[in-house]
This record gives sequence, structure tokens and C-alpha cells, in this order.
Amino acid sequence: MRNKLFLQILIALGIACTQSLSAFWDNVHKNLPEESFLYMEFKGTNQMRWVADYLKAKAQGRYTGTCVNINYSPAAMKADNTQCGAIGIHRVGGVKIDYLQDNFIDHLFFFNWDAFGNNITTYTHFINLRYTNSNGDQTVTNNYNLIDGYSYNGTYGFQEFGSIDSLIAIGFGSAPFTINLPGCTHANCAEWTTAATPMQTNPTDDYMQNGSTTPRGSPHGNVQTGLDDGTNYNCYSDTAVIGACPDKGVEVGGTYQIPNAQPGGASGNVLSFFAGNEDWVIWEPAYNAATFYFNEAWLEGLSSRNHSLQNSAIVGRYYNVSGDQILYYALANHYAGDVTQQSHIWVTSGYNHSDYESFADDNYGTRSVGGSDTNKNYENYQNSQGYANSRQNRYNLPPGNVHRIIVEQAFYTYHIRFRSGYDKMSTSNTGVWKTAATWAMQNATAEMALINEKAVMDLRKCRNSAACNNL
Amino acid sequence: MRIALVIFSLLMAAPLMADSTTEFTVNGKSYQLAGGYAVISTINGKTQLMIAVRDTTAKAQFAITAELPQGIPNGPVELSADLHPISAVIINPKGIYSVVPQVTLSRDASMRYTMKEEIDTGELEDDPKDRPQDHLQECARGLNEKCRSLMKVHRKKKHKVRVTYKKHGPTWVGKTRAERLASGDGILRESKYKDTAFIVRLIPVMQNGKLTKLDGTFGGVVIYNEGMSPGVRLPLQKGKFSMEVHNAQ
Repeated sequence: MRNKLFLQILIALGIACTQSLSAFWDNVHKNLPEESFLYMEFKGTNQMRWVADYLKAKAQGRYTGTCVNINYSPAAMKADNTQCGAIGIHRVGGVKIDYLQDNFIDHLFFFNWDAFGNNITTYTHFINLRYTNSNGDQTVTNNYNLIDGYSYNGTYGFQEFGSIDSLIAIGFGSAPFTINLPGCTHANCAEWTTAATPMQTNPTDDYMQNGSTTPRGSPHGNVQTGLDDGTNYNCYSDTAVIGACPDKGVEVGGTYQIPNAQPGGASGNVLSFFAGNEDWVIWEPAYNAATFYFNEAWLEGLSSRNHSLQNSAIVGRYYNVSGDQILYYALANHYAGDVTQQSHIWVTSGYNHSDYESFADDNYGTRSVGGSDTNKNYENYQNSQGYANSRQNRYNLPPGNVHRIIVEQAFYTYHIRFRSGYDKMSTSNTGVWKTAATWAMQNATAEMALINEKAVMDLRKCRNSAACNNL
Repeated sequence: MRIALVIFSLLMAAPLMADSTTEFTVNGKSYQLAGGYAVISTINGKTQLMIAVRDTTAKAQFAITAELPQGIPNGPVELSADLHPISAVIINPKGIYSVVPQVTLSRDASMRYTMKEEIDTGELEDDPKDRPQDHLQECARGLNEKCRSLMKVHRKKKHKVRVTYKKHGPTWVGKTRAERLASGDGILRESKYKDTAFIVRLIPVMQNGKLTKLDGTFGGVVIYNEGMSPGVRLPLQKGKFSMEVHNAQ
């Protein structure tokens, strides 16, 4: 749940970071997938226990055997960078996404690329289910917004001046993103070639899963930013000020809507700035990023990276997938964890986002496996079993479709805010925070166990081509 | 966001508005910026202020966003990050200096929560957790006829509970700031801004009954980041601005 909006963007925005980078849900993100694995071993169905055995066999152990790296950023490097065995790989998968250096911002206004931290990795950690802002103004045309992850002007509290949102609005006033990382020849993009290994994700392209039609635009210059009309990945209207890409969108009831179903237009028309809301930064939702790692990496073994599942590529991988490749789908568990945090679904900065995550990291994040400290051990496998059993979307979906498990969780998380005593967004009462975090942790355990189970069952379904035909 | 669009657009014209000036000293370095605007707008009953300037010569950008609790000011107004929703940001090629309130009050009073209530009806009903085989020997080998007969008499009972679900609003509505702070109820925190401060004093200048200019002074302790380095707290001193008001009202 720690997201780079707060680990990178907010750092870049100067939001005091005298604390270590280890805060912000870092340990929680490692613990959750570990919890899901232990749940599978000790409380799961026969099939889950079998799946756990398969994974342990592939990884040559629980905490020993095949090893993978988190690849912490240099400033955050810790002794647990390398972790081994099936459970160790799941711990790495839970947090590794936060350390990928895979989005770069060509920063503010007219200064330069180097002015301050320009790596903004995780707009992709959100699912935007809101359809109004905190004023009640409609921001999308449908009941729920399943198109966008982070939407700059769609955040719940964006119009509340004096907030972090308003600060970001100014800070990122005209900040286009690099939309083609492999083509970026600027020195700062060198980070990407090391920290994002081995997949070197190109988010604006790779994360366009599940039918995404978000306009990507044409990359320009050595930093490969997209400045064309309709380039929704980075089309802050303010870039129009420098002649770039105002993007008018669709007006409904006097409000310009997100998602922007009609990108393009208005470039150079200064008067259009006064006509309505034309600010856009649309990013793929968390479940699209998760789908990339689950489908394109784990199921297909990175054979296509073409946004759709190729069943032929999966055939036989049940037998020959390597232990370190468990990390491919385990990365999806980071997003699975994020969507149990209310802020990631209501899409907002502020609202106790980072303080709540620090609280969770200071408490549940420090739990010891099997411990009984009620301030730290939030796990309850019976509750997780109940959450798992209540899910509509489970392993028996066709291969792929991990997004359906994640989106189902997102809806639960969206609605839990409405349950009395669970709204951690509007209170800093730590009793409420603990209730919300306990719910999140137990749900994440169930959700990730289902994802782990599905990851293996999908390969198993595709042991041969005849069984791998229900995509 | 409309206001932001306005201001960012206006920023382009900032150099033309030579009447607007901003001065401040941060981390011992003094800046003098030319241009910029103040924009005041009322959205859904909330009056919002944005002051923004960028100076390509000085290579710095400065902005304040705030909500004005008393609406459009017609006399001096003092806003503090301790008590008001206000943010400030200074950007130069080396990094960014910023401040937002460490504590703000929740504002989404329209939230409605569902609460489960269990009401004792005063009646008794069979306890579903009762395992007759644990206390009736006749039931040890299954639910035979004799067991069933005995269960009618010996089955453990529990109070019958009726479950209802009620809606309620946020519990912090109506509480004072002090009451909210004491309980944490209705409080939003940004601990990263602990030990920062920001105060701005606005002095409206009226002309023909319209607010045409905002003068002001400001200062505080802001967070500074250079690159990805950890933030440090730095004094922001001797702040002073005189801003043209866009769309004077």
C-alpha cells in the first residue's frame, strides 16, 4: 500500500522525509503475501495446500532454495534485499513494485529534468472507483470509474484547497511523463535499466491490459515525453500553457468528465482554459499492472507483451516454469495489497493515507509469524477463510483474469469505508485505524491466497493445448 | 480545478503583470519575483484563494492555496497552517520547498455509515452452538428419536436477538476543533509536516468597491527536498507580496 505517490512523488514534492524509506507499509507489503502462503499451507483447501507444495517444489523450499532480489533503491537498501524459497519470493513480490524505477517525469513548468527527484513510479497503484469528488460533484459518466488508476483531477479531495492534492496540482502543473522508457536516452533514465530488471517494464505500454484504450501519444525528445493532444498519460492541461496538450474531454452537466472518452482538441486555445476542467493525468489502474505481471510474465513467460493472453505460450509451462519466475505473478500481490487500503480505491492523497500506512507498518508490519501480540498480529485465518469463501471470482475463472479477483477486492474495500467504525480516511483515531488495517490484512490474505492458487491452477489447466482453450 | 487552469494560464502572462511582486528569503537566500496573480473563486460555498507566480528570470515559482473561511476578504485576514487549510510551495531548479497543515479537519460531513445493532427481544431460542451430544448421553450416537425428544426439553437456549442496520453520519460533526483533536475523530494528519509552520496575512486593497489587489506578508518553516534526499526543515522569512486580483469582485 505504500505507493510511489507518497514514496516518490511526495518526496519529490518536498513532503518531509526525515524518516527512513522503510516506512509507508514496506513491511506490511512483505508480510501480506507471506500470510497468504501460510494460510494456504495451514488453513487452505486441499487444493491450496497442493498449490503451496507445487510452489515450494519449484522454489526448492519455503525460505531456502531459489532466491530473488527486491532491488531496493540505494537509499533504502536493507539486509533482506535477497530472499529465498517460495515464501521468501512471495515476500519479495509483495514489495518489489515499490522499488521499480519505471516512470519518469519531465518536471515542472519550464525548468529542467534534473530539478528534483523525477522518478514517479506508482500512479499505477490505484483503482479509481469514485464517481464524485468530496463536494459531491460528478467526475465520471458511469456509476464507477473502472478505466483509471490515478486521476489527477479525479481525486476525492482535489478541490479542497490547502490540501496535499492542491500542492500536487501546483507541483505537477505541467509535468509530462516519459511514455516510452526504452527510448529514453536521458541520463536519469539509466535508473530504469538497473532497478527495473529483469522485465524493464514500460508502464504506459505494458500496463495497457484488459482492453485499455488510454491514448499513449507519440514520444518526443530524449526524455520520450508525450505532448500530443489526447495523450492521457500525461496530459495535464497546464502543459497547454506551453502549447502542449489541453484535453477537453466530455462535458456532462457542466462538468468535464473522467474518463475522457473524447481525447484531443483545444490545443492552443487559451480561452479554453477558462471554459472548464481540462486537466488530465490518466494512469492505468492497479489491476492492469497486475495483469501484466500475471498474464504476460507468469503465464506467457514474457513471450509476447502484447496486452492479450496467448494460450499457446502457456502450454507446458506448468512443467518447466522456473522457481525464480514465481516472482512474476507474486508481483501482482503488491497491487492486491494496495487495493485493501481505502485510499487506493477512493483515489486520493491526504486523508491519512501515509500516516495510516505508517501506523500499519509500525504495528502489523512488525509482527512475528505465529505471534500473539494483539497490537501486531492481526491475522485470523478463520476470518480470511470466510472472506475467501465469499468471493465470486476464484481459481475457476478462465486462465488470466486475475484482475477480476483484484477488482472484487477493490469493491469490498470501497464499501468498507461506509461501515461504522472503519472509515480511516476521516479520522486519525488509531482504534479505527487498527480496525481498518485488521480488515485489510485479513482480506489481503484471502485475496492473495486466491491469486496464488489461480496462478498455479492456470498453468495446470494449460498443461496441454487441449485444456488451455477457454481463454 | 478550474481555478488552477485559470491561474496556470495567467502565469503565462505573469511577466506582463509587472505590478505584482513577491519577496522572500528561504534558507538564507533572498528572492524577488515579478508577476503573478491572485485568484479568488467560490465553489460550492467555499471561497478559495490561489496566489501564484513564476519568474523565468529569477527561475523560481511560488504559490499559495488556501480556503478563506469568511469568504472574500474586505479587511485584513490572517491564516495559519495550524488552524486553516492552506498550502505553500516554492520551486526553484534545485528543489522544492513546501508546507501543508500537519492537521486538518475532515470536511466530508455527508458520509453515511451503516451500523449493525443487535437488540435483545426478551425471547429465547435454541442455541445453534449447542451440541446435544456433549451433554446428553442419548445423543452421543447421533440424532436418534430419543435424542430429539430429549432435545426439546434440554436444548440450550439463548436470548433471541433482532439485528437491525442503522445509518448514521460522522461522529465528528458538531465537535469543536479541540474535541476532535482530543479524540482523533474527524482529523486528517500529515505527520511528515510535523514541526513546520506557515502564516500568511492578507491585506485586501479595494478600488471602487472591488477587491483589485491583495497585499500580504508570510513566513514559516517549510520542508525542503533536493532530489531524492530526505527533507529538511528550513526557515521561510521576510515574505511579502503584492498581487493583482484576477476578475476583481
